[in-house]
Amino acid sequence: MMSLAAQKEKKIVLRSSDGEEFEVEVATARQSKMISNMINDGCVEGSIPLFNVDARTLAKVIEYCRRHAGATRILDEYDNPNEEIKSWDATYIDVHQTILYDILQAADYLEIKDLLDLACEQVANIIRGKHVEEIRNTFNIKNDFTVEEEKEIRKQHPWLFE
Amino acid sequence: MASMQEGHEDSQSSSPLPEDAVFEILTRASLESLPACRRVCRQWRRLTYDPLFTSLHCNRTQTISGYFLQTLRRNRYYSSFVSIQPLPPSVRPLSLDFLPKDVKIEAVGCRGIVLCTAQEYRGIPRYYVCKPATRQWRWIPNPKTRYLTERIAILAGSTGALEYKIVRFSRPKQKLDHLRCEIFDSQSQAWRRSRDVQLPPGSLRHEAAVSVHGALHWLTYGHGVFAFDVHKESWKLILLPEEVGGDEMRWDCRRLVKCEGQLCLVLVEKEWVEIWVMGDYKEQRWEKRKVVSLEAIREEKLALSIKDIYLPDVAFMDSFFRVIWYDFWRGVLAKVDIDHPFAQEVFKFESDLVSME
Repeated sequence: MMSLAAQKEKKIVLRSSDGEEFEVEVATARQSKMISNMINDGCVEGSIPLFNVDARTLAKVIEYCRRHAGATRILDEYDNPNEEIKSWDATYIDVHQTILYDILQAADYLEIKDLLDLACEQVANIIRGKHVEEIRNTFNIKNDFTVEEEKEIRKQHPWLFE
Repeated sequence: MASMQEGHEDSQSSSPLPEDAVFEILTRASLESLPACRRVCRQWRRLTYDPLFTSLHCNRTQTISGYFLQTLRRNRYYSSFVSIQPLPPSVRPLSLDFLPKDVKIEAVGCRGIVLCTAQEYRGIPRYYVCKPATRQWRWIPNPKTRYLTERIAILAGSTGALEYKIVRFSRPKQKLDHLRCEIFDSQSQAWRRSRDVQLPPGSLRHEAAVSVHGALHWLTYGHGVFAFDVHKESWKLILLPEEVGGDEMRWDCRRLVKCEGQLCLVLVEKEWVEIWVMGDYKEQRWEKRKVVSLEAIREEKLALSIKDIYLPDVAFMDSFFRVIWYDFWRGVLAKVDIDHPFAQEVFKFESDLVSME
């Protein structure tokens, strides 16, 4: 295991699905459990190709990881960094839905649990108060119920006052 | 189609979310938005009925899920709330002690609304609608209390502002071959009479209604299920499966429940539980979904009765001074002691913390 200082100095390179390379600190990269495991296994020579994450999403994800890798250090220095990081998270995740969707998939793929939680929470907020058709359109989900089933299910959950 | 690469600015995403991510999202969807989520597609529907879903969902969305138990002792009604999910941190233990009087729970609707009555002057009841999770309540006008309540149920609109309907069947003084039907609407704040139901008083089992497919259901003491369509305000009798319908003496080991949004019949015979599901509601077709042995729980050596199916494979049972959540495959999940020998009435209760107003 490297010391924290050594980790800070050492950088690794992540390559997005569309070929762009990003140099990041090890502590930042380790926010991803998947990459962290790769580092532990010693297979990070050269650059790490991330086939499922494009450059725009990766830049955004790195922004999060960098902030949170930093936050762990701040935690030792200040008493209550919680509120600050929370409001940072809220601003960070307040993005267009397409980007949110991409972040969510990237967080899932890279196994960044806190980011996945944050993105899921945001998506759940988007669902709130929406009707079925709106949800389907928002998430581009195909309705795979048959007409009969659809009728049945509609009856099971009556919108009493519609 | 190289131009597909540029699809980013599209409002729609390219690939579907991985299933575990969808599960993560749905466990964070508010109780109010769950009904809509269940209608989105098969995958979403299936995930919300996953055995692991409820506890995560309760925890993440501050949803309360459990049962109100009620018993009558020395002419007074006592109720208590039991749950295997921890209450949200901001919520006080649930009870009805915030109401101005001792009450009897009459019915429970979705989104945590409870219909109660208090005995007032000369035995005339007073009707309340309340939300125990937020400790809010209001009086509503009385129905025709000259006619004694036979069965009553409350239904909440599943989305938007909290609207509700109450359906009450009462026992007319003169004619003994039908039930009076009255309906209360929260928007008009008034009762109105609907068509009588041609069933003699005493036909419907003394249990909470099962509300599925836009209708209220009660077992009858005969061999059927009474179904009242709340939209059409019409009723019909649904026959029990042929295999079980004939023997009218066995009504005490049958129970009607709601499971995965469907009408289910639970039959208990000594060591065995049979679960029948009405998969096709329109055709009124029952199918035997599973048969499970109760042998493992017999070591409790007590009279156990299944009160509800809490999760697809978890039964909620009561026995002497105790209620039990029993997983058909994994055994007893939890036991909670109660301060009365039996829960005479059991009301499933699910609530968010959204204000009643």
